[in-house]
Amino acid sequence: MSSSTHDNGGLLRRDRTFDFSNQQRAWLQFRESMRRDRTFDFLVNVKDLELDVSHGPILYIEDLNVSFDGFKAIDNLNFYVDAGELRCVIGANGAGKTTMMDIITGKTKPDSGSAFFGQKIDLLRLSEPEIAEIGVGRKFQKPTVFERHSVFENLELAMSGDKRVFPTLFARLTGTQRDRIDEVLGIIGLTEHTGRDAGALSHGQKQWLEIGMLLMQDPHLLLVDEPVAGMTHQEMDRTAELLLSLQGKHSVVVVEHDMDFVRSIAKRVTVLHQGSVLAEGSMDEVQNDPRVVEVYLGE
Amino acid sequence: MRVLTSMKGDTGGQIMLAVLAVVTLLVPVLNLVVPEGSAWHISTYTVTLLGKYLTYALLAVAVDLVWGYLGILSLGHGAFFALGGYAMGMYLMRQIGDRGVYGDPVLPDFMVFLDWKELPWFWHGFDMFWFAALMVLLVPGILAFVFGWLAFRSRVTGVYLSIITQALTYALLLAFFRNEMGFGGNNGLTDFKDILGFDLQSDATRIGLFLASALALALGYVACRWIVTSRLGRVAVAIRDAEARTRFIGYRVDRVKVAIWTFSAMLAGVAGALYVPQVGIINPGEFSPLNSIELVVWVAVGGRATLYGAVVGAIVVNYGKTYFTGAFPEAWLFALGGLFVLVTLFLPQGIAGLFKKLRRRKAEPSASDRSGGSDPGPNGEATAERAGA
Repeated sequence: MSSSTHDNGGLLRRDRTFDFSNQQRAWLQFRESMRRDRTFDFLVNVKDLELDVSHGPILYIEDLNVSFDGFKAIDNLNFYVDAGELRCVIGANGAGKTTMMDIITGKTKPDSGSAFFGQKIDLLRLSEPEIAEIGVGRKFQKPTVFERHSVFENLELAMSGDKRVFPTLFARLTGTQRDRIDEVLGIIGLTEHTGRDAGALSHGQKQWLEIGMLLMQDPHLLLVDEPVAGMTHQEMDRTAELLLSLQGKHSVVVVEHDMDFVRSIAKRVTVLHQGSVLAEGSMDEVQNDPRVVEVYLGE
Repeated sequence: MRVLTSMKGDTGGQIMLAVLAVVTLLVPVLNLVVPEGSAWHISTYTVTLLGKYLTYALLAVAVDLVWGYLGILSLGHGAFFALGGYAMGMYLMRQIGDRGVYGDPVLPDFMVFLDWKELPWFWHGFDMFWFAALMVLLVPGILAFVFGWLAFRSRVTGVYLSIITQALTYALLLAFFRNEMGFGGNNGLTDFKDILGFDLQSDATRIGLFLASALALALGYVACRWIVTSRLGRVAVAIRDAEARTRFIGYRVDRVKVAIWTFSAMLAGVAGALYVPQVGIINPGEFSPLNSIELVVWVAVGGRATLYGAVVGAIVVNYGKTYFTGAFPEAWLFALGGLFVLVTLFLPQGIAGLFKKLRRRKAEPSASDRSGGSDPGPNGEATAERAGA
């Protein structure tokens, strides 16, 4: 991999342990100890689920292959994202962008290869909710917010915490939780709309609220799928600002078609083509790369 | 404390509870103190009628909790009501003792008539009030839990769920019609004499039952209000509006549904238990699918997802029913059907919606910015759509 900004300013909480219950911990430990290829690994604690980004990257995808009925959706893909980085991924339809997201979030299992979150967490061995819990958040293309709830309540519901029935029944907002919601309201620029029904927001505002709901879950890595589809220019600018403000504290991977938008936010761009990386670098480098021009930007 | 704060901002509910309190205080006085000749006297018949309406209102609140806030259109809540009623009826039967027609000290009349020699196992314990009271909660609760656990875990929703709730109550109707079931067949349980030693025919007992119904309604209302204003209540509404999304942010949708559904069924059971001693009979007719549909109409007429609307709807529709079935017995079902159509078309948020609209118009005559989202337009359509389904 090409080296880039390894120093993320210490903004990532490397010491964070995940909120696994004892039960989950025991199960993971058990599952770990039953693996045949790692006979003595049960001596290693499940504490390994702590995110380790000491070498820089937060996401390591190596030699990944997936095929659907013979069609190679992902073909020997190698892709790294640094902690705190904002990365844009572009590529034509069928280039494998969504499949890659699906693998990272545990929705699709690859045929071969590896996907690590930090140096130690093997994403391929975790289930979808587990991956969400260790701090990988995904925003889907179509915004779905709770229309009849206020903006504030939307964020409250999305907040990480105990989500079982009785704790939820007796849950009360603590001061820190309220502050956290206020903070996120500020980040997504909806402070003035906090009491409004989410259904009354504009399309752009709903997208931001959805990003806010992701942030409430305290993710380390945010996967954002086409955030500016259907937005006005003003809204796009605002979204660009929002995503730029997230880098450093969070690692963000943005999949987007809109070239102007990508140019306005991306330091580094990855171009996918037929399931593997065609080019990677700054927007200018990528745009001037003859292969890219040929298959994607050209004609 | 939070019980009090949960009533804040619920003007309709506050008014409803205030009216309920006034009625609860006045009725006993007007019945027991005011002499019978006076124009202010309320007959015991009316007291019982009012008590019956109150149990219906509690049942409607239970339905509104799952339909209005959780989006589950139950067409089988009458079953939980009837099961609570049967549990109470069994207690009342055991209280008869040897005063029955056949004078058997243990066996209720219908068992003697069927030539049964001993009490079936499931009738044991019902001679004790506390046991019967527990069963009033547990029988509907356990049935709802098992039913809900199976249905919600398999993600049965919408019309399909409504249909199986309807099937549930119909199946129970057929089962309870059978004499071998041991619940008195199609005659049901009746001829009750007394409850906790008090004569069921006396005015004082009638007033007592009326007061108990009013208290149960008030407590049930506040409990539901407390649930819907908790975070769990907000999760419930989130499930109603976007179930998959709620699951995606980490809530166990099936468990939330089972919990609220079970609570609602237990509330319906309590309503049934208070209903039976007042009307003096419980028979399989209470399981009839039509009953369950009718009570959905009460909630629709009163206004969904308001709770107090359910109370208003239950009382208004049942008053109408009492009047109509007296004045034009054949017309009642047509009136009910017509009412449902009219409400769905013109009053999608029911009486409560009308009340809200009037209040809003009065409060801010030029309101246009603030109420953008909660405008009756889109909400109304959504409600109509759901009610139509």
